[in-house]
Amino acid sequence: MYRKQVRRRRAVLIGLIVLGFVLLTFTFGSGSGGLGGAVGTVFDPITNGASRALKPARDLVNWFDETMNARGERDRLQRDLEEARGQAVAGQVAMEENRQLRQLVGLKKAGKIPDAYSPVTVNVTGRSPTVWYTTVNVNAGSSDGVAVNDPVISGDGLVGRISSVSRSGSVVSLISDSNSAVSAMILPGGAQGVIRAKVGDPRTLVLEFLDETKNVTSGQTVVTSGWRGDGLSSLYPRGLPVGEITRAPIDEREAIQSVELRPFADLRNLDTLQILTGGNRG
Amino acid sequence: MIITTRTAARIGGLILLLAVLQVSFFSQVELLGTSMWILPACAAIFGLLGGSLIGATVGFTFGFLGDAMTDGPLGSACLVFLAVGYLAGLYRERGDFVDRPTVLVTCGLATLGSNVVLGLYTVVVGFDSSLSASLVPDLILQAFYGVLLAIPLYALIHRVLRPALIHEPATRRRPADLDRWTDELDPPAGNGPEAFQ
Repeated sequence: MYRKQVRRRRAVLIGLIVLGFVLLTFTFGSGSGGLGGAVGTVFDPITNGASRALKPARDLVNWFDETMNARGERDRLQRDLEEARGQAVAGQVAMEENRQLRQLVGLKKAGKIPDAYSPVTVNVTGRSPTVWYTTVNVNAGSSDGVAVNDPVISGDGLVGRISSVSRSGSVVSLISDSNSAVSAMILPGGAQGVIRAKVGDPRTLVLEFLDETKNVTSGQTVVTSGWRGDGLSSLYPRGLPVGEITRAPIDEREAIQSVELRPFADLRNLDTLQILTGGNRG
Repeated sequence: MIITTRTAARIGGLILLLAVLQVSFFSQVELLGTSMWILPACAAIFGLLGGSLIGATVGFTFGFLGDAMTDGPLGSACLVFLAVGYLAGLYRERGDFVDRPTVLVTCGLATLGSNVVLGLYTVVVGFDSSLSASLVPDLILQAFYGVLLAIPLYALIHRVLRPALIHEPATRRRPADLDRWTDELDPPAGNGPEAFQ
């Protein structure tokens, strides 16, 4: 009897381990795959409902965290505000000049979001719990026109792209994900590079493969470059704001210059997002 | 632990509830810039209460649900939580004493160990990014949250599993029902986990 129990326990354990490796093998590099997608679809309504119900409790806990950060943030924002006031005046003049020039050459009125895209506003309903996997769940899926690789933005700038879609929900891979790569350019100057994550620190990104002859300084703005060529094109439209250069070390020994930037979007506190559906989906 | 259909249904419901809470609440609240991860601690508590087989099975299920709900790579968390639940259960079955500090330490180690192993897995399968030094305090802080949440999680899981636990005293109805978990975590009079249970 005892031996039979031991054999049964061993069989269950070995079965679970084998199943784990099978899952690992068949879903490697493709998110959770079809099985995970099916399970996700089943639980999407539950997690969406729970997320809405628990929002007041979440907000209460997050309030403590945000209050602690608020004091430091206030001083920084006051400095930024003074600087921004100066830039705003110059920017308004430039915008007016830009509008007139575009009318002259017959181009459509330019916005940050190209006309080809239809924004879908969504709320964050879940988030990857570890400090390694940087994804969030949102409450819109294929029934809302969302598809894999659609860009996702917040009110501040680029957030990531859709990595998987179910009928009523989607998963967004953030730009702080270790597998993320965004082609971008620096304004002003137009130096181009690729934005990679700095894993474990969603407040910092790294812009790599810059032309070392281009002069890059702290405070410059980074936007998506939205390149096209040879039948290929970037997943992200041109001109989406991504972040601001915070550290631009000058190291002549490095053949490839890389700089650090702070994303405009607060990737740790995402709530309302927009998915740009209908554009180029790679 | 005596597993009946009713007990299995209780365990299933509890697993589902905890997984949904993880995705909908704990993942989305931050204290000192780090979210809370309760699933490794839960797998460890199931192991401490139910033994290695229950711990391993529940751990596997937690890993599967957690990954499926957040589109993580299936399998890695299943295997890690399976190991967490199994090792916690093995500790209990060896007859080692399970008291409150043991529960706290086990939950903290389970959270830290799971994070480190999953991180190593991420590095081993290869990613082309640099690692931030701020990752270390995040790992430690998340393990600390695992310790903080160990007591309420233990109380919840113990309460739900009580009818199935061996040597569990008959239900005592006391007015101060909410304080019962503190009594249960106090060292038992006898030796070994059964005495504690």
